[in-house]
Amino acid sequence: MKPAAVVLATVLLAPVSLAAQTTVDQKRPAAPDGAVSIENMAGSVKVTGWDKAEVQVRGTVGEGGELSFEGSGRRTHIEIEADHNPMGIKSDLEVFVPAGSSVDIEGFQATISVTGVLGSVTAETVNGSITQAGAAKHVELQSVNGDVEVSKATGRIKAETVNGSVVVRDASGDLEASTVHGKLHVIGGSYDRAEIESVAGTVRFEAALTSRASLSIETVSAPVELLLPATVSAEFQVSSFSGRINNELGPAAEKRGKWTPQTELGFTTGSGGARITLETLSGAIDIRKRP
Amino acid sequence: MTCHELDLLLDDWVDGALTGAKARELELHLAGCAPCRDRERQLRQLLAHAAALPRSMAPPRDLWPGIAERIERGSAWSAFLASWQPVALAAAAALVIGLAAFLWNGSGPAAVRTLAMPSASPQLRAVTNTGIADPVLAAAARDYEQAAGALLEALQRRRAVLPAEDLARVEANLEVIDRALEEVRQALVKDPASPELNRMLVATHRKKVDVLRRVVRLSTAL
Repeated sequence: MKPAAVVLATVLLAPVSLAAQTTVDQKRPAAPDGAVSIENMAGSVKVTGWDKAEVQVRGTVGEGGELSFEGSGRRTHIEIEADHNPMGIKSDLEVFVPAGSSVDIEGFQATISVTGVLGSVTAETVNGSITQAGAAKHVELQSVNGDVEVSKATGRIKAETVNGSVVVRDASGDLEASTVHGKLHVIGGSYDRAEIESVAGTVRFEAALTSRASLSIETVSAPVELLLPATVSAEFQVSSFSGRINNELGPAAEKRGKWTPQTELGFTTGSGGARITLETLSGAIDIRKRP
Repeated sequence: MTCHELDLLLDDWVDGALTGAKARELELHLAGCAPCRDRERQLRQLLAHAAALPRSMAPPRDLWPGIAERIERGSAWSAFLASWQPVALAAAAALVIGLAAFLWNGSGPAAVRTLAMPSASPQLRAVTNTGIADPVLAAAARDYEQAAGALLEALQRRRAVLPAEDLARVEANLEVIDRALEEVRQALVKDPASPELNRMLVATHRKKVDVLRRVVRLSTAL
């Protein structure tokens, strides 16, 4: 197609496309600590906690889709319903919920963001990023192809993706994080327990541990970088089958097997207390002092 | 040294914490006492199993309630899943297979409870060499491989509703995991008794199943 024809087609088709979408703006009363569930298979969902005792939904619903918005105060459900092929209906929703709500969001080809929700936040999508910000007390975010980011959550946190990065910032409590192919960074905050797994994505842990914390990091081929204060009190168990181990906090690693390249390292800093286990197959392990 | 005295020291012996004269006495006793040698072997096996188990014995936690709700909201199947407590890795893998079999067959919840494997699938009948010396872990790895095979078939059946680019991305990531599995298997050839490697192999299998089940579960919403 010639450039002029492309421009013409764009001009002609654009209004049709816009006209096919439906604009929505609806409100319902809701309990300040109720449950809000949202299903939107394609497009985006942006949730914001506010100080009103109501849920508001606004945005656009794609052609062929219909907004279902129902609830009875303690339980609100929002869904884009479709007669056929929900993947073809792209809807962009902005949802305001009482800050104390618990929110559950499900998408497929959808990007999801949640800000200022203090209850629990669970969100899942296949193709799209998920971000959460605010002191939610329980966070569970899972994507397959997309980045996952958690910020300032407390309590139990689970952040997983397959192809994408996982970044957890300034959070605290109990963390489970994993990725297959993408960086996994835990920056700031303090943890009682952290369990981190990666297949091929670089892991960096630069956060504090409580006095009896447990931290385990396991990768197959990815490098691990652990940055802790020089004053940390912990027992370390570190091993790598064929990766290099570099340690600034204690002794050097020793080769374990006579016939294999496996190296390992066990040492205690301070009076112990926290337990740290690092294992890789071929990824390098760097234990460094946090500046 | 009597058999009873040896029993009291056996834990320390197996842990390598017994030294000096006591260790020599115990070694002499073992050399001449078959029942004590059996007890020592059993204890070593038990410890090896325990050391090699994955850190998290719980199966993927988000699969069952979500799938159950999707397939049959509020059914007895949901109650069954809700009441189920994970007790062993192999049991977790078996349940995954049950679910995969259900998805593969496209049959009702009753079929899930039987945990029946679909007999017609050559992919599922194939028992691969897991590369794991420990028989318990080898069985768990085989179960995970079979579960992955069944879930892959379930995914194939949803090709019509899944966007091609999403499927391609999932397949690309499965290849990353398969390469990692191969890397761990190669390491196991060099050090078959390594508990870390055994655990890593099973954990990587679990990751593959976890990825597949998530995509299959979400695709049921379409």
